[in-house]
Amino acid sequence: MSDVDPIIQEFLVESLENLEEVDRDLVGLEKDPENSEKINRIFRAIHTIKGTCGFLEFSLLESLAHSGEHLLSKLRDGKLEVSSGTTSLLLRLADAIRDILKRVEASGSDSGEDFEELREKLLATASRASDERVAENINEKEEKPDTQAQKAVSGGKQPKISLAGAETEQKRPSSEHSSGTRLAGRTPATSQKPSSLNETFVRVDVRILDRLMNLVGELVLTRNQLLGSQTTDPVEASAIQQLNHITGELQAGIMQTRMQPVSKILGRFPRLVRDLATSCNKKAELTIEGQETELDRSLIEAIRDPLTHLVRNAVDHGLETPSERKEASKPELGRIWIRAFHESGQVTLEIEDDGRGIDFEEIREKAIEKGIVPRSYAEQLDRDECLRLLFTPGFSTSQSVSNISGRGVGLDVVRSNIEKVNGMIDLESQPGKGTVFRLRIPLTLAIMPAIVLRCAGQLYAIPQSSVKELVRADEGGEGHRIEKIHGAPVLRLRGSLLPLLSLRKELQLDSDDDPASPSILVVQAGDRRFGLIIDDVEDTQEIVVKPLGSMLERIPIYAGATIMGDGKVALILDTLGLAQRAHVIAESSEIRNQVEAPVLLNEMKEGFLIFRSPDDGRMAVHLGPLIRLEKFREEKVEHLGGTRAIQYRGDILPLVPVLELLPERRKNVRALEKVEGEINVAIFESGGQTVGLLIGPVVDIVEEEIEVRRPASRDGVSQVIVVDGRVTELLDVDDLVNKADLPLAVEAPAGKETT
Amino acid sequence: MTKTTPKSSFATFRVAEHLCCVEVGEVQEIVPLRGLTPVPLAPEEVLGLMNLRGRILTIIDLARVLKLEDDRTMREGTILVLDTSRGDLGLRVDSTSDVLQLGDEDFEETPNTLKGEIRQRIRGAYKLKDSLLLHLNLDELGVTKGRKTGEEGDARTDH
Amino acid sequence: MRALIIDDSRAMRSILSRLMTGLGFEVVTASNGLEGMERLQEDDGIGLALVDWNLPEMNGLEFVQSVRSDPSFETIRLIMVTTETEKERVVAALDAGVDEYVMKPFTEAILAEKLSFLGLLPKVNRG
Repeated sequence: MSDVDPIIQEFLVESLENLEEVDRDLVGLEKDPENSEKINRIFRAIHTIKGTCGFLEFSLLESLAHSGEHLLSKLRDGKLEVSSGTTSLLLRLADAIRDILKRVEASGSDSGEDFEELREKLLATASRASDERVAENINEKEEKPDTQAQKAVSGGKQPKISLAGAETEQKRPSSEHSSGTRLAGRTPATSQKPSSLNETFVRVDVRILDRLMNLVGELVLTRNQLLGSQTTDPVEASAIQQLNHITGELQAGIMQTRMQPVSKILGRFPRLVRDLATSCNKKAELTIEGQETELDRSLIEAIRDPLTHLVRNAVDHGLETPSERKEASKPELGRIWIRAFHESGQVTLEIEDDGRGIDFEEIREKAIEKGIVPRSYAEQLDRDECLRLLFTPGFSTSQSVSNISGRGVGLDVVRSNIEKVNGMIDLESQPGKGTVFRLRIPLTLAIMPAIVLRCAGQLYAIPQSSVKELVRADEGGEGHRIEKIHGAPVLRLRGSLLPLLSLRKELQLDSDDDPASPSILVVQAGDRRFGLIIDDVEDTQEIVVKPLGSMLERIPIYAGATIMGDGKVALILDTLGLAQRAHVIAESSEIRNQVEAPVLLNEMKEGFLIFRSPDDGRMAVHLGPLIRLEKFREEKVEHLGGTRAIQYRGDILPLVPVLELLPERRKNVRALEKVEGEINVAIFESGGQTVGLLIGPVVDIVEEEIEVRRPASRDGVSQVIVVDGRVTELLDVDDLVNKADLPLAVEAPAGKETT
Repeated sequence: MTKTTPKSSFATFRVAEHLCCVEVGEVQEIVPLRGLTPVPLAPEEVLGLMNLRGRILTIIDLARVLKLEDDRTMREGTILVLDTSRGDLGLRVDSTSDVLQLGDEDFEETPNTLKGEIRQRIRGAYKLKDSLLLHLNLDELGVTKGRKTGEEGDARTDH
Repeated sequence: MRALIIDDSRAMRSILSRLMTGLGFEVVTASNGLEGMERLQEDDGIGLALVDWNLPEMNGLEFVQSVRSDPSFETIRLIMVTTETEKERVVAALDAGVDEYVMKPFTEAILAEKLSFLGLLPKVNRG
């Protein structure tokens, strides 16, 4: 590679770029076969390759490109119609040229497989043109002026005009001819993007940019040191301010140079969609929006595979077959969109299809069936949460494993790839209408917010995006306790068990006893969550990520290194690498079932009202339907038949004695319901009716993610959850209200009955 | 000087009683050892990481590479910043010495008197008046494969 | 003398630049006709332009026409670079006022011959 002539290098790069455009245009032509702009562009690309080959002495490639050019000239001149046959042939040509270019890159020569069959086919198709079309032309009444002009040249004087015969040709130019030809030449240009900027660009070796990026990082650190020094000299102070300002601009500028448009990877998608659709007998059209949106080059590469996977999915699973679409009275042609745009300092990529959509109930059932989530848990999930189950490892929606997307990697891999670059993924779907996947990607990976932590005297950095929480563990104190289950350390955190990893032990440091009251970082990596035992958190700061050299890059616990404010190097911890360790430990100690509560994509916080129940127990109700929490004097309770009620805001509020309604354990019920002559009433909306729940003394209102859930042990309780380390019965309000058997009269427009 | 064969310039340096050299062109610069960050789990030849004007340089200890001594304490030293086939590398040596012009006539294949690891890591030696100058093979300076990193790596990526 | 090379392909520009510098020219480049016009306007040291036929924005023929319609560019020599398949167009190019044409692919010798024919190449440089 390195000793390839730079001109050949340039030729390879340019030709490959052009071929991507060729792919795109060919696919575009199928819908819009009359688009002379596209034909011209394809022609020019192949023509250029052919022309350049002549100089570089790649005769095999030249001859292949020539036959393609020949066919294209027929299409361009309207002597042959664009059909799916010609398009397939030309796509094959593009592939063949790519193959040859790769060969040139590898060996410096184009010799090898000669694609003779393809070449002959191209020529044969082209020659068929001249006979058929000329005959047809006579019958065509309406023609576009440009094709007409072309035909005036070729149709009239079919044999090629030699230079000797120039004069005869020269005399012909009636106004129609010359202006027509020129028009044909110009049309593509006017609507094309201005490419005249080419020469204001300079090609720069990426390594130089990386080096500049490093130096700027260094400069930022130096600046930070200066900013930290408190000078009293006003001249110095203003110079530092100036330096501060310039450094910021420089940093932004250098980052800008590393940006590349997403078109770099989107170019091949029209082709991909076409090929996929053909192979599964569907009709699909891809629309790309915002392909000029820019991302750091390292990220562009990182999103290539996830994006491909999602687009494949859209064609394979998202879109219906033409007949299915017809039945659903949708157009046969399925549509797929890829949109890229900037949004609040990030790049958003959307992959949308107008296909069958995803039935979230089906996902829910499947998740239960596959044992991915317990039923009681799954039943709580709303629509979006159900859809997110798709990202759980082991989930695959396709009914049968198809040959396109069913390659053993699922959306969980897509998700973890996106999270690897600190991005996020989400989806929305409407059955019958379509699905949209949304990726949010940071603009750059080179600089990221990090938590700087200390462990055995050394500083390490960990990406802030993966740290959810900092917990301090105390031995015997009120705080969180580290416990051992089968010898493996776990942390009981709000009722869930978090596997713990000691950074000291993982790093095999000599002094591998953790401090008495260590700090624990709750880390989320992919779908795994674990606690990382460290000494302490030092700071949070933006760090410049640098790669480790070849000797160290295989250590899975490190993601790179960075330079701290004092100039020292600090290692960056790889959360995924650590998570694997944590997982291994959790698994080997058989605490998996207790630990691995399903963790969904986003924080799944739920709100609860928690109150005391008899025997110092805890009960909870969902905050969702709660309207208000009130205290009433006991005397205000009225009895209407078997039902208690209270006058509230001009209405009658029926009371539901929750504790009495629950079977068994009724001992201290009355005592709990009233405290110092007051009763606690939680006013709820249930089944279109406003009711007051008589509850015990309120302990707390919490909003948190529930990770441990058990099936209920008695009626009226929907499940048992662990909140704040306490086993808590979550009441099924609707069920209790039913049980209370409230008189219909109260349920109706209340008030009249009582007066 | 009588017969002259083309001579090359060599940077010489000492490590644990041995005099070694590399070609001058392979040395980017020479800097003092300072501000080293240890890398847990790294192969034992790796002393740590150093910040060289914003570049992060992996520092390896020549004495450990050559298995010349078992002294694990971190010492003072000098770093040769080398341009190797595996990227930039910092090589810790005890001290640097002169730059010498040497020709092929002084060169000999790895002498039989040399034993152990060191044989694998040199290209040969130059006979000087009062000592032997070992010509290091930079391509072989990289760390023995597998070992600590390899094992850790494999175990960790398994699941 | 400076030569202007107009081609939309980077690789072709490099190839032509190499050939022309080999023949002792200084070279400026442009990737389409419009840009070529700009170069001519800002640099009066350009005495020769090699222009490809197939160009985006303003094609080779339009470029020639537009150069020839501006009296201030009268002395500029124009060579049309074309290919076998386009040779029928050479007529139109000659008609529009190009001084020479050269068909791709060509060798340095062929190019040198065309140039010396136009009196642009000192004899020394030839062969």
